[in-house]
Amino acid sequence: MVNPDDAAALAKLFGLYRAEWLNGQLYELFTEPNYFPEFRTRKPCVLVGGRGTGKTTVLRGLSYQGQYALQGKKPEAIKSWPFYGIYYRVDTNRIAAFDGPELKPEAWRRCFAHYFNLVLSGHILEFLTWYGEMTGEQIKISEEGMKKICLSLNLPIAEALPSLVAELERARIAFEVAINNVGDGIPSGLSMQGAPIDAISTVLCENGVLHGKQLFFLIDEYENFSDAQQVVINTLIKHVKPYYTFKIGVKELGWRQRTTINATEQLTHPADYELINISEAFTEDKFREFATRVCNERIKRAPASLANLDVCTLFPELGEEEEARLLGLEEAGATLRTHVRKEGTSQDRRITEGISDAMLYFLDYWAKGHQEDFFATLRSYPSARTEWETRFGNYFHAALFSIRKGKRGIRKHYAGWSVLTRIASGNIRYVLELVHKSLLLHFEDQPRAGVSISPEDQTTAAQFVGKKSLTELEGLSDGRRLTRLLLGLGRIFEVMASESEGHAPEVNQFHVQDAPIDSRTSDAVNNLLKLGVTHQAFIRFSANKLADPTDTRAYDYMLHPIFAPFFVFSDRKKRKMTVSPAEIIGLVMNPRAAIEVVLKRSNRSADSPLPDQLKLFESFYIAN
Amino acid sequence: MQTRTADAPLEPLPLDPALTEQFERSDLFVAPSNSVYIFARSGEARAKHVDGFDKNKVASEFVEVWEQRQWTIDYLRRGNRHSLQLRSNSDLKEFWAKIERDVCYLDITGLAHHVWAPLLNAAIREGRDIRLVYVQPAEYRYNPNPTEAQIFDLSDAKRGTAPLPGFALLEEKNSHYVFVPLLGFEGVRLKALLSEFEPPEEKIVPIIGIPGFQAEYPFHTYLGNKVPLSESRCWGAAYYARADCPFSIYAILKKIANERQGEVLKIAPIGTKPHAVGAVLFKIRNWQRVELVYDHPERKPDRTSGASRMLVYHLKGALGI
Repeated sequence: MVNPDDAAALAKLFGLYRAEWLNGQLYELFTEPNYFPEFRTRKPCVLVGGRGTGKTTVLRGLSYQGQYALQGKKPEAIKSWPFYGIYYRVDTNRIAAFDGPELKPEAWRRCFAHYFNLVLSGHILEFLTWYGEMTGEQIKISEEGMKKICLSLNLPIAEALPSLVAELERARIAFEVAINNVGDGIPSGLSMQGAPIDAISTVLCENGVLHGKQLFFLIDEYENFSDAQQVVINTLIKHVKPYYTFKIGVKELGWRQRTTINATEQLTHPADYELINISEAFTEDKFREFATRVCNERIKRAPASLANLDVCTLFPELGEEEEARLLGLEEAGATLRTHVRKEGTSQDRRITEGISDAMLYFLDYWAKGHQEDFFATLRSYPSARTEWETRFGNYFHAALFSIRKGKRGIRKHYAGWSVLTRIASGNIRYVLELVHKSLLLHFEDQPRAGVSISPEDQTTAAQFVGKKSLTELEGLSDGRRLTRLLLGLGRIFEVMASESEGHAPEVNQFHVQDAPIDSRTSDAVNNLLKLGVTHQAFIRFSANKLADPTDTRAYDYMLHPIFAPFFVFSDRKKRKMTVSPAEIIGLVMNPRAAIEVVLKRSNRSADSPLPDQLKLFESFYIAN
Repeated sequence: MQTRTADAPLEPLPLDPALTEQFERSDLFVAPSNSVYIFARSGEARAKHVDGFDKNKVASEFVEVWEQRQWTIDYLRRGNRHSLQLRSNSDLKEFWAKIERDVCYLDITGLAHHVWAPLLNAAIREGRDIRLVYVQPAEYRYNPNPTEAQIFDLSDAKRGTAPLPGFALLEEKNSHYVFVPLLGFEGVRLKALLSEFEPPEEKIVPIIGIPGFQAEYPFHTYLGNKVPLSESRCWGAAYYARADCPFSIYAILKKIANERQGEVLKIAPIGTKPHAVGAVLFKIRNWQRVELVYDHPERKPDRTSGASRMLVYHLKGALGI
């Protein structure tokens, strides 16, 4: 029996799964991903990954506050660091001000460039103040250096760092007033794109207090910049000076513009920057290993009675036959044996005595799928035992989805550490949420509260996280349509999984037909797919490594496996179906009819009862 | 989770301030002579009350906001159509300068936040005797396919987070903030904002409209926001302010600001319009301490039905205005 307070403390350690929520603990719990060394180089670097894949944690880990904490909070060591990272999160509520009919695009570009100069300059000065306080070194900027900095920002010449900070703040307020009244004309005193950054970094790093060091500008949520704003920042990245570099965190497809303000100039990889795609950097094994380290690091901070646990022990693996038993295989086996006793021959009875319930169930599953007589199938077993074992190995997982078809309660388990890390698919936040919810459910159930979490609790937790992720999409600007598409596709894959007999098993991907369609439908489909990829509703992949990232038809799409437990389909990357663009739109606009059309193509119907957890959306499936 | 201790007294709700006039029906409203009434019609029945006014009793002059665009509006005054840039001090100044009336009624019922907020800001700057008018709906429209966070069917897609015109705060250094959502029925909007800004749970202070326009509305608010409130574990930190009173919410915001010295208040006015008025007034009076965060939903034209009470908020002399 686990002490309830200890249990609550352990669960709480996993409840903080957003970098923003961790505050002081962010750096204590920091676990270095395998791509981290690449990210620390002097070159610009772009980190691509969905929400929850750890971009913010990595970027903040590189910030000067992060490095200070990660290196043991030693003020005396600060001067020896090779770089100083300055973290900046792109806030839509600020940058959206730089748009509107009052100015022409070129004038907005100049305003935004000036704003970005003010932002980075402000952050650098904030860092310098911190540096001075921590190291005890008086920050001196030469008279000539100060002139260069102030002139580049159109500020009155300041005497020392405090007065420079004050002047910059005054300039920021004046600029804010001007932007709030931009209808009265373009703000005056705009600085030149990137010039203050060049000036400050040169003054500090060439011969100044940061001699020989490099500044890292760590820009998080780059996708929040508008296309025009990305062009401005791209220009800075393209023309970085030796004293600074950029490290960018961006969602997939969020980096929409690759040109600089010179439209013929592109940012190219690897000439201009290193590209790290988190989903590619993490293979399934590497991610599981990383997730294990992250979780065990948290467990170590639990009360002593639990601190020695290993997350793999908490989430024991569940074999297929064991799972089948949990789903009611014995009952199915008993029914089949009774059937053989009543209807079969003595030879049939002898055969059934020599095989397991799982194989017996599988033979029946196979016979139904291939419209063969059960007894004929059974009698083929002794002479083709090896062939049947192979089939069993290949298809028994798919057969698991049929055992409790149409019944109440859990229809398929999602349990075991390797399964949970696979459904998280590179998303560390999902892993933490899965562990957190599983622990809460587990410890609610006091009589069973040992050290391993039951497959039921793990599955219920996985359903919860899937549903939560689905409803989170609703809040996006076009989230309702995306949610409807997901509900439609999820139901199709669920029916396909529960009626897999005689069909391609484990269908959970789709490819959009390259059929001729009107441009409006085409745009609507493309936008939905892009939105889905950016916000991790879908995972996409292409056999062609050189596929154009913006060509949505060049890719196959899989519903993110985090949704698999909620809808009940296979989380494994398996087979795909083809849908037309019109069917994609149909799933959004008229889901009931579209679901029927798609299922009818494979002789299935949408009449089977919904899994319990989908009942909340019953009216969606019936009314629409 | 953040909670106040059980023995800590709740902030007393301000009594019905004398600064608010209430009319059971809008046709009972009478304005002083030499006043102007600025309004807009919308698809909602409650924004059509102007048609039922006895124009001799209500105001000397009517100005109708004819078209509300993202950054500009067109309005009709004395039969002529004019345009106004919402981010222009000179346009806004000129707008009020042309209105040579002692009392200015700004009816916010049919006006979007991004329109009435800059008009109000300019009126205050110009020292006008400004009175805001708001007509409550009789009912909100239920969602035919309700989900946990969308019991009502009030808005469509959103334009996304952007500052209200003239209200941008370009302060980037201060990462210390408290997120103050003023809750309405649409939990999906709170969820989206929490997802976008990801404030730490101890930095979220939701405000709920209690008492609501109707006795049951606070329950709808809780139900609609149940998921984001429980996921962010901020429900225990909630404050309450009368749903129809900008002065009550102002007092609560002031209290939060006093308790959170050194922190910027990121206020999301996604609840009632009177609450949004309180938030805008608080921003005007505490410019660098407050950032307004708004998601600009496209309101459904038939989101409400009928019209209920009419409220008139007198701002001159209130809150140091």
